[in-house]
Amino acid sequence: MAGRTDTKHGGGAAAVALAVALAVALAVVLAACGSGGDGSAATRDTVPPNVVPERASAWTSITVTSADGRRAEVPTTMFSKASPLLTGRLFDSPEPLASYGLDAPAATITYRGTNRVRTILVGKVNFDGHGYYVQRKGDPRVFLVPADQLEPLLDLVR
Amino acid sequence: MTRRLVVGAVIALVLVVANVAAASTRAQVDLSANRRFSLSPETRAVVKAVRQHLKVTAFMNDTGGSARDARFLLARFHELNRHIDYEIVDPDERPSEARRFGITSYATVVVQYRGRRADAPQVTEPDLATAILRLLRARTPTVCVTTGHGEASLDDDGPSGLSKVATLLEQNAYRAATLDLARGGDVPSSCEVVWVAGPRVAFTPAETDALVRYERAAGKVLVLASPLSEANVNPLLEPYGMTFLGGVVADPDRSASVDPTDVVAEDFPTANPVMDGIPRLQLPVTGGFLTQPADETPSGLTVSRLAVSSAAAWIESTPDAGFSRDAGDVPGPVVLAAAADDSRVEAGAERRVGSGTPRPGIVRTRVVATGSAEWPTNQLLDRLGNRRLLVGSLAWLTQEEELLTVATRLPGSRPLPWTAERQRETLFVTVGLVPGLVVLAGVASFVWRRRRQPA
Amino acid sequence: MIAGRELRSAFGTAFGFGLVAGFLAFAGLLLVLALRAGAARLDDWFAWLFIATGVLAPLLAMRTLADEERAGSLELLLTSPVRTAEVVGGKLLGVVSLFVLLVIGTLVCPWLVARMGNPDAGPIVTGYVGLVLVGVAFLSVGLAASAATANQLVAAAASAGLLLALWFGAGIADGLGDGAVRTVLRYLSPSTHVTGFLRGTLAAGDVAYFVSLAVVGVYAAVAIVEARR
Repeated sequence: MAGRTDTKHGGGAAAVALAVALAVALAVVLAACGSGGDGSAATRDTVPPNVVPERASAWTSITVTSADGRRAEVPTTMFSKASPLLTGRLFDSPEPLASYGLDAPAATITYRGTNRVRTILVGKVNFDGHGYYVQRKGDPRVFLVPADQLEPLLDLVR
Repeated sequence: MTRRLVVGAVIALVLVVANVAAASTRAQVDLSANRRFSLSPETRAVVKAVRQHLKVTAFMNDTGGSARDARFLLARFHELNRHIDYEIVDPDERPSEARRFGITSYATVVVQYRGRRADAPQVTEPDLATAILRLLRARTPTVCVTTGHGEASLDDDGPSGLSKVATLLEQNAYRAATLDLARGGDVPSSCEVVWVAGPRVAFTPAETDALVRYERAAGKVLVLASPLSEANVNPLLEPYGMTFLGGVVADPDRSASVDPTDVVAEDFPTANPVMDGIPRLQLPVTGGFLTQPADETPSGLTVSRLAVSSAAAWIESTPDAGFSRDAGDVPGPVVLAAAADDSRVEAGAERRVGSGTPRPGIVRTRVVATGSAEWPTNQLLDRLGNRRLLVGSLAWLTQEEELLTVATRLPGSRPLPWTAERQRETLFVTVGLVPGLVVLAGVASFVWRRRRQPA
Repeated sequence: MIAGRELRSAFGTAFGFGLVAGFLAFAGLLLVLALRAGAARLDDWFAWLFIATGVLAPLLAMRTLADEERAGSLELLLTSPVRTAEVVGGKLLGVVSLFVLLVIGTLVCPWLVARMGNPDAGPIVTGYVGLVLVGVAFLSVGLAASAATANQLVAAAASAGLLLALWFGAGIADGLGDGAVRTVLRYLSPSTHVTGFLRGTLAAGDVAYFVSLAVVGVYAAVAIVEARR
C-alpha cells in the first residue's frame, strides 16, 4: 500500500516535472528557432519585422530624396505602397555597408506622422535585381525589400 | 570489482573497434529520393582524381532546406577527398562575393580548380561531378559561333544580345570564338562545337557546304532555327532525321503571356541528358520540327524529341494574317526542339598511343536544334530552364556526359504552401483531436478501473 | 514482466496518458512551426524531436530505478531469482516501450503532411529510425543515472547534464583546431550523428554510435546497481 501511494506521489511529481520540462523545451524552441538541426552554423530567419511596420494612416507626409538632392512628396494615394514597407529578408550585415550601397544611400525616404518620424536609407539592388538593400536610420541591421515595392517610390525622384 | 572492470574494458574496446570500423567503411543506406546523398561509383572515381585544392562555392539562401541538403551532399564530397572544400554563400547577405563571381541567380555553384572555373547549375551529384570532370579534363572546348548573317553578338549586352552567353561559356570552361565562313575555307578543326546562332539571312552555298562537311566529319552543331529567318538550316538537319518546318507555333494552352507565340514547353518526352533537370522552357517565336520515327532512321542514328508543345498548339502557316487554327496549319503537338546522334564506325578514326597504325573507331555527329533563336538572348537566358538547356546542350555535344551515369530526372523542390486553413487543420488534428482521444482513453481507463475496484 | 510493470505503472495513473497527450500536442506545435517554411519536409521537425528526446529521456528514465530504491522495492527485486542485468534490461524495455508508444503517436504528423503535399518518404523513415535509436541511447544514459541515486530529480539532472555535455562537445571541439581530440569530441557528440537521419540516410557509423551509447548506458546501470548492493 505504501509502495503504491509512493508510486502515485512519485508519478505525480514526475508528471509535473515532465510538464514543466516540455514547456521549457517548447519555449526554447519557439524563442530561439535555433540551429538547422544538423549541427551546422545555419541560423534560421524568424519572420523578420517590417522595415516600416506602421499602416499608411500613421503618416501625414512621406518624402523621397535622391542622393543628388531631388525631392518628391509621395502622393497620399501611394501611401499604402510605402507603408507598411515589407521586409523580404533581414541580415546582421556581415559585410561593410558599402557592399549594400548603404554607406552612400541612393535615396532616403522620410516618414512623418503626428508624433513620429522614420527615416529609411535605400542602397543598392541585390544580385539578381529582385530587391533593394535598406536600413532604418540608426539601426545597424540591413533589410532586403522587394524591388516592386520600392520602385514606384524611387521613380518619383528619377 | 576487478571482474567488472575487466568486462567493462573489454566492452569498451569492442565498441571502439566497432565504431572505428563502422565509421571508416562509410557504409550507408540511402533512402532519400533517387538516393541523392549517395555518390555513384562514377562520381567517386571523378572525386578521387582531384589531386590539388578544389573549392566549391554554392550561392544560395543559406537558411533553407536546400542549403542544408547542399551542405550534407558537399560534406560527402569532402569526406571522400579532403582536397575538396566547400562553402555556402548567401548572395543576398554577401553581395560583394556574388558580384566577384558574377552570380545572377540562386543555386549557382562555382567550382574552382587549378586556376580554372566551371559552374554547376545546382548542388546535385551529377552537376557537381560534371563540373569537376570538366575541370579535371584540363581542356577548354572551343565553341565557334557563326557570324555575318544577322546573328546576335556575344559582345552585345542589349536585350537581344548574347553577352550573358559569353559569360556563361567562360564560367563553364568553354572558349568562345566567332566563325566567319564568308572568307571561304572549312570550319577550323579547333571548333569542338559550331553554334549556328539564329542567322537572319541565308548562308551562301559555300558556307552551307563547309558546315555540312564539318558536321559529317563527327562535328557537333547547335542550331538555333527561327521562323523569322531566311536562312535554310535543313541541310544541317535533314541528314540527321530532322526537318525545320516553316510557320510560327502558337500554343494558347502554354504561353508565358497572352501572346500564344510566347511558348512555354513542359513536355520533354526523352531520356536525352540535354534535358536533365529542366522543369520548363520559354521559347518565344518558335518554329516546329518534323522528326523521323525511330523505326525509319538508319542504323546508328538516334533522333530525340527534346521538347514538345501541348496538343492544342499548331504551326501557323500564315502568321501575318493572325493566329487561328485552320486547315492549312500543322496541328500539335509540335516538336519544338530536337537532337540527333549519328554514331558510326569509321576506318582510321582511332590512333593508339605508341602505334602509328590508325584503327577503326566510333565517330559521332551530334546535333541539337531549337525552333527559336530568342531563348538564349540576354533577356531570356535566365527564364525558366533556358540557361540549363544551353549548358546541357553544350555538355552533350562535347560528350562530357559519357563518363558519368546518365542522370535521372531529379525531383524538384517539394513546396507546401502554408495557408491558414492548413494550419488550422494541422492544429486541430495534432493538438486537439489526437491528444484529446488519448485523454478520453485515459478517462475511460480510470472509470473502468474504478468500477472494477471492490467498494 | 518487469517491462510490463513499468508500462502498467505509467498508465495506471494520469502520468502515462498525460505524457502521451502532452507529447503529441507538443509534436503537433513543432509540426506547425516546421511547415511554416513552405516545404513538404520534416527534417526540422525531427531535429526538434531529437532535442525534445534529450529533454524527455532523463525524465522518463528517472523513475525507473531511483523510484524503486526510494520505495525500498529495488532490494526486493534484486534478491529475487532475477539477475541484475535482467532487471536493468526489463526496466529499459519498459521505458523504451513507453517512448515507442509516444513515437507511434506522432505518426499522425507525417500522415498529415503526406495528405497535404508530397514529402520525400526516405527521410521520414530514417527520421523515425533515428528517433528510436536516439531514444534508446538517451534512455540508457538516464537509466544509469537513475541507478546511481534514490532521488529522481537528481537522476534526471545528472543524465540531462551528461547528455548536454555530450551534445555540445562538438561545438567545443570546433574551437580546438584540427587534431585527434577534436575528432574524438566530435564523434562523441550525438549532434554529429543525427544529420544523416534527417536527410534520409542510415550510416553505419551513426547506428553504431547510438547502439554503443545504449550498451554503455546499460552496462553502467548494471555495474552501478551491483556496486551499490
